[in-house]
Amino acid sequence: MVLDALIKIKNEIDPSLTFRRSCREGICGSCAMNIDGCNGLACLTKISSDSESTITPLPHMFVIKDLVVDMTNFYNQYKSIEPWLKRKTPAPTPGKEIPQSKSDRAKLDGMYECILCACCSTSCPSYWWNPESYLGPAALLHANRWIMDSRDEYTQERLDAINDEFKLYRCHTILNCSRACPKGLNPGKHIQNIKRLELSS
Amino acid sequence: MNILRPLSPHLPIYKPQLTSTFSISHRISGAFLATIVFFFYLLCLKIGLICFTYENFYQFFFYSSKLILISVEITALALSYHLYNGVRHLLTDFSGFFFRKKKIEMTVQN
Repeated sequence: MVLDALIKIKNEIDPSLTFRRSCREGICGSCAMNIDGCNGLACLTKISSDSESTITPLPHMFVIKDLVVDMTNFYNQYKSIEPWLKRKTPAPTPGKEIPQSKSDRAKLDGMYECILCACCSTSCPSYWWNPESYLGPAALLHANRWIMDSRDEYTQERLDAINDEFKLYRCHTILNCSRACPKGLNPGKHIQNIKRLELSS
Repeated sequence: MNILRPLSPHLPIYKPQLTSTFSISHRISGAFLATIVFFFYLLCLKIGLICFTYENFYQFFFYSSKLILISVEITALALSYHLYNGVRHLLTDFSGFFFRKKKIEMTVQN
């Protein structure tokens, strides 16, 4: 995989090559970068059989060094959608978990697997042109994850918080995000779900 | 405060995807059609009666008449692409309204 090539270059050719990496198995999201024009995880992308491969950092992000980019804005946007369970009423049995049916839990499939690697948000041209005001597919995917969670009781407030010309509606269904996701998730579909819910709320 | 940090390359290096190509072509064809319609509206309905009586203006239009044929072809291409992509957008974006089952909709708390 490309990560092995990067580590080999760092070991043998240029020790100053800087990149983020951790799990080497596609679950931590650290090694997200742009390989041959497409965003992906270096530890999951095969080295192409062409003689050359162009590796650049995630597009339209401030570069700290080599392939390391500044993710502060991305993480702040994730924090801004309040990705934790919020309830108005106490749990049905205090001290025990809040029960959730299998079908309700199945609604979270396709959203909880997001590893916040930022491949999707940095592949979105709309996010390139409005990185501070548009939340981006990753944050919106997580916003949908909490909106669709049956245990969460602040659904209407969550929908109102992002019902903004910039936070949600900079999405023009370009759908580059779904193409870029290395975990095979579909942020575009979930953003469409939020838009659908906004209409009926 | 990141005024000194460089920005990583985006448009020049990103491989054109099918999805992004569709989207930008939809936007470009839409803008193109809007200008064509606007120009034709101006020309045929508003100022045409007057400006075509001017010798030079009429001459210019007469000699560029072959160009009009080509631009009509391109406009037809843009119109058909914009139309088909528009229909595709309507179908895919609003499929959630038609195929969502009633029971699931009820469990989303309002």
